[in-house]
Amino acid sequence: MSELDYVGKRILRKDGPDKITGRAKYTMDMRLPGMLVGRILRSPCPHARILNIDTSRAEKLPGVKAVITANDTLGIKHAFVETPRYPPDQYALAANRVRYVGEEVAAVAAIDPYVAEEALHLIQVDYEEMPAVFDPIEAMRQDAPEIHPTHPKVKEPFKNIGGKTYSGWGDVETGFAQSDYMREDRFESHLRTHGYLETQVALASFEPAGKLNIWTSSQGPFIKREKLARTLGLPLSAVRVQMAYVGGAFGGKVDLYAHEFCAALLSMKAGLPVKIAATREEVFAAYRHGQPLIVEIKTGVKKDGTLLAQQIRVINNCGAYRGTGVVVIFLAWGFVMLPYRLPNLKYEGYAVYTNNPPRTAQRGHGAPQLRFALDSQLDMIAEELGMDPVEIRLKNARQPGEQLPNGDNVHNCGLVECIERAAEHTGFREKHLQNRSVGTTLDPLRRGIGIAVSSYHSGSLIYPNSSSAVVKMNDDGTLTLMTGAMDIGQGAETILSQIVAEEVQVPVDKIEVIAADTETTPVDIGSWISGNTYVTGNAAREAASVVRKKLLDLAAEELEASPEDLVLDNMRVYVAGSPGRALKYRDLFTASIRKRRGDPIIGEGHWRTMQDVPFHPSLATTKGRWSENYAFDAQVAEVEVNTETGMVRLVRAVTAHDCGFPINPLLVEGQIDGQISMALGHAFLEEVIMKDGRTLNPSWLDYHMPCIHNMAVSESIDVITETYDVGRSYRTKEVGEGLVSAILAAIANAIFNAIGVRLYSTPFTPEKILRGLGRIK
Amino acid sequence: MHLPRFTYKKSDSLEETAQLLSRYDTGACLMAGGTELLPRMKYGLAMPEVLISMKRSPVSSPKIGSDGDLVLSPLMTLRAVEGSSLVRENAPLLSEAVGLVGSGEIRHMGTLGGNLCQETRCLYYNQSHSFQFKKPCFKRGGDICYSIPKGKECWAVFMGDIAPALYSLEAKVKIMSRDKTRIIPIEGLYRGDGKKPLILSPHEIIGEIFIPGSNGLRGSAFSKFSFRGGLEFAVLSVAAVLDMEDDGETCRSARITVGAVAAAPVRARCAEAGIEGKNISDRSLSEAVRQALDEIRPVPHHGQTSGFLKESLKVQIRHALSVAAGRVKKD
Ligand SMILES: Cc1cc2nc3c(=O)[nH]c(=O)nc-3n(C[C@@H](O)[C@@H](O)[C@H](O)COP(=O)(O)OP(=O)(O)OC[C@H]3O[C@@H](n4cnc5c(N)ncnc54)[C@H](O)[C@@H]3O)c2cc1C
Ligand code: SF4
Repeated sequence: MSELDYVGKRILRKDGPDKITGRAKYTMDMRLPGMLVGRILRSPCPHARILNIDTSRAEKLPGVKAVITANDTLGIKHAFVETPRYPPDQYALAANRVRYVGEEVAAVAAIDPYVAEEALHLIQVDYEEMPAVFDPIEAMRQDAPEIHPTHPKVKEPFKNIGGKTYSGWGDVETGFAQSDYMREDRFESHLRTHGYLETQVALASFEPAGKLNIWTSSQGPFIKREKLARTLGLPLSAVRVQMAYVGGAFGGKVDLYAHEFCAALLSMKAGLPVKIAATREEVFAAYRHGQPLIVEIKTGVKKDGTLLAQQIRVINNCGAYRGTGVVVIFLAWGFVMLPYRLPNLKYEGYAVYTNNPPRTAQRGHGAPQLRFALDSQLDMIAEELGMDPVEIRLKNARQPGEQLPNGDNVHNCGLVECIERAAEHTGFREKHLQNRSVGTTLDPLRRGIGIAVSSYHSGSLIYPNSSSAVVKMNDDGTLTLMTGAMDIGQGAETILSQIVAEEVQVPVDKIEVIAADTETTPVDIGSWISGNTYVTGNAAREAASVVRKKLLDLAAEELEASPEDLVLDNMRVYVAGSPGRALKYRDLFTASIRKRRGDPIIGEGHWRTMQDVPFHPSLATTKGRWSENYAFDAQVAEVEVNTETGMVRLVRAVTAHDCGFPINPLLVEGQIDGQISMALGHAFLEEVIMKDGRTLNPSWLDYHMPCIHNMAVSESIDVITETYDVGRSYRTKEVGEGLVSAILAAIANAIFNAIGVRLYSTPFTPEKILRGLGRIK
Repeated sequence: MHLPRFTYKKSDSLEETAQLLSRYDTGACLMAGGTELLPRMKYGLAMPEVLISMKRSPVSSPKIGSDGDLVLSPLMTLRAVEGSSLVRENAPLLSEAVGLVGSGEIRHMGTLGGNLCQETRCLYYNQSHSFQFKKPCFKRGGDICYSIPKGKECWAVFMGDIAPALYSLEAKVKIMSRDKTRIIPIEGLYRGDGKKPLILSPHEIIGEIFIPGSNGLRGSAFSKFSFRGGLEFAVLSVAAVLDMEDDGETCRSARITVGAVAAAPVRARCAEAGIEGKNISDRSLSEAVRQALDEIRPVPHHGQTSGFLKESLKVQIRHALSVAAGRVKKD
């Protein structure tokens, strides 16, 4: 690697000062003159026909400026996935039928929240209740109430199938026949919310000339614009989506939500700006959380631990509409394919409609659930075979350059090194043996250690498929970067600035970023599917190299030297060895205007993951390429189990990760610590408790997100597999999602190591521990 | 979420508050720290027309009364109680319990009186009912229970941490209204009814809290079981006091109170009687735990099963008793 000045450095976040001084303005803080308050009326029934909606009394209430129901809409359906196989299945406001408690039925805009609230009470909705079903297994039965017709392509006699993914390779029957040992297990995961601190909020302002301006707390403006324009019947160019600071998202703010649609439509109707902010309670009880999966696995191995065959069935309780339910059952296949070599697979995934609120992406998007199941079972197999957990993982871990069954390649995969270094760093093998022999002491506290691995894609093909960026020089030699990418707290603007800084040699604090505005910034994949650093980063790098090249050409002319001999350094150019005779960028800017027909030195760049692959893979069959860039990691958990209370504490978490190379080590560590704390909540504390489609704990008090004193010590080891060179594209890998996954199975394995209790479902509650120990019958 | 509309009145003394309460009749409500009342108002569970705020009212400091009782104002913030050395010396159990309430923020605002007078809690109740559980349950004036559907009454649980400690300290409270003042044992404050947990009429308030001094060797412990270990109500709590004979080994009298298992704190009276007169030993403590489990049946609440609560009760009582016993020896 050449000597780098900005990339690879621990540079502080650009948004840091605004945020820690409280100056940062979020969408929630925004106000416009004449702004109205919007509120949404939600269904109290899990499943019902809407017989009539009478809004007349609400409309007459003084202070109410607009009331809308499905009748005021164009009746255009939308969905996260919209393909011929999976056509959109949801109206922005329920028409004729509601399918979950909390579904949006009407909305009002009024002069203040009190009037808005009162207006909701005055709307009379007549429902005719219909039978409802909440459990996916029950919903699949033929006698279950029908929420939507089963997808026509599904041949099995199941009901309420919203989507199905069927995939595999090799021949599992042969694989099982050759196996020395086989086992079948079933794992279940539970419902968690993202925990973004800024609740969902949108502010819409429709101008009489026909332009809709909307600010919304999201993960990327372009997908929102597309869905808003279509459901509202506006030309794409008439909708401008902008951002303010985003108070967290974690996958929860990708889809189009009814509050965004309603704010827009109410503003169109009332002729004034309308803001709708969800309460925390609404977020808990009516918005989209992650996806609880049932994972059934049958695995066959050789005596030496080599995986031979797996048959896997994933059932996703996807709620009343598809949401990202069909994406999870597709991705789940990928999380099986990735970290371990597997010659034979038969995979089935079902997204099952139930009368629960729909679900969405959540950091890791299925990886934590899948890795929990797969890496727990792998430990159980190792136990049976008398193998060490590290050995069985090394035996099956993918090696650099391996081709995946779908045609992708793992390239410079560092998984083996991750496993070895994590094990070595923690003294895994000795501790693992030692903990087991403690057995009969009287001390109620037992220690355990466990390991697991995961892998995650860094950018995949999905709308919009590409990112582009513009870098323009300003008169004073500073730069402005225009990108559609959205900084949702992960540090996107800092990372992109570092890359531009490195290419053009302008310090990070001299780079202004204009971001995520559908009108003024180029299209971007958005801050999801973990493609920011790789896809947007390369686009920004290309844009910056154009600027670099223009500067070098011009300077070569001015200094009468060849471009190769020139050095760019802190907004100056000079011939190598003569820094005394340097040209300032601001002078080159003027020179460019003068000599290059007014060119103010602007560079444009674009990038697309898998540039030569035209389409995204099939959600139904997984056929087609998925990603060209996979990150890998191994995580070790050390736990302390109190055998009297059943409480488990994560004492230490060690993450060895192959992220290519860290563009900003500080941010990589931040992502790791954040994911460990999120996984810790997932493992022990957090659960959205639901009964018959209704949420029992819709508050921070009763939903137990970890506090700072619950945090575990988190350590990380960088396994470097890539380099960054100025002027060359790079393949660095994601660190924002994959590292929330392996640690779950590592914790489950550590609990087994401590007390010999195997947990088949998350969260790992004291009750499950005590039941496992036989303390509760 | 917004507060419903109300009229705001300021009061500078408990006497003035008592006056105001009777003037406004049932439409008024006293607000001390507001940490319990305001969330309920936001949920629409309380809608007083008049809020009588005592936030700025002067608060008398803890003192030892002529009969040796520790006397506390209900207006003391929990932080003030926690920080008082007089309380720590005379009622360490109270200091311990107070220090485990909610979080630093809640203890800064919340008061002793508000803590004792908090409502019972239930997941089906502590939320707004705009689209979930709209049909009122018993506690909201209806005739169903979501939590225990076969039940004919409300099973909401009293989850305050301080009352169990005061039970075990045999505290008394002064109840005052405009015209009347009476002093009752703390246990008389609670009706044991999830729907209406307190005996107070809308005109009555708590005026003072009295904690009798201990005359002899004592060990006490408060054990609060929660998942997050902060910013959380107790899954269950145990307040144990062991008063010892001068030999330091024989238990003269024991008080074991369990919180968050019913609509009021519950004394484990058989277990207490079982240890009294006995030497404190592994055996006598285990026997006490066994007896307590026989007499206390935790109501399943907040997603916990009764099987788990029983097992946890066993562990927590045992823990509280052992710690209390250990503390006797230290004195
Ligand atoms: C996030 C959170 C966590 C919490 N955790 C805990 C916990 O772990 N343990 C716990 O015990 N509590 C907990 N609480 C409840 C907390 O509100 C109380 O602990 C606090 O002490 C209440 O005091 P306050 O002064 O704020 O009460 P207020 O809200 O002012 O009043 C509560 C009720 O008491 C009445 N009242 C107040 N003073 C008197 C008086 N002198 N006489 C008669 N009636 C009176 C009021 O009219 C009102 O009905 C928690 C609350 C929150 C919001
Ligand atoms: S226990 Fe009480 S508050 Fe809870 S649902 Fe039943 S009646 Fe309502």
